[in-house]
Amino acid sequence: MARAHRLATIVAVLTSLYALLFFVILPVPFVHEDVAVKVLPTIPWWALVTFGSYALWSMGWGLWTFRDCPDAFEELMGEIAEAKNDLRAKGVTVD
Amino acid sequence: MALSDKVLGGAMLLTASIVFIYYTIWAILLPFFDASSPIHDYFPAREWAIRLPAFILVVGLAVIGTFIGFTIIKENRKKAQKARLRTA
Repeated sequence: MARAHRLATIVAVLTSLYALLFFVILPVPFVHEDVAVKVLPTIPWWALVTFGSYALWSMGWGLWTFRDCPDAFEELMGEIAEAKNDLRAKGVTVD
Repeated sequence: MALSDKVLGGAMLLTASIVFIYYTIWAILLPFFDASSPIHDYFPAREWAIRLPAFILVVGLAVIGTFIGFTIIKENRKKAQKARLRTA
């Protein structure tokens, strides 16, 4: 629950900051006004694209660094088949 | 199997990086460049920088919703069939 609270707080702070900048209640520092007007509407969509890219990168990284062990795989498949047959013999519908 | 995993993982890493870098330049960095700068030739018109993710979001949510709907219908059908078999 603590992690969710922290995430919710950060999201709330960033969203309010974005709303302040978007409705020109605060000016964007160091940036010319016409440029800010063009960039600010794209920020939520940029956040969405960043999240999607991060998710894809994270999955790709997991695949890249996965440590395969074929022996454990064969052993596990054998155990699964054994368990399925056992359950079927006892009358449970399996797969 | 490990090799195809690595190849697929590498492709995903590459795609994610390219998409992120291209979209960041398109949405955030392009307005800082002069309208006459040659860099604008490498990117489509900027309204598409909003339309494209919006479209993908809507399509993605529709696909997820359809899949969930299918699964619920299939499970209900299976349950109804089982109940019928038991009372038959």
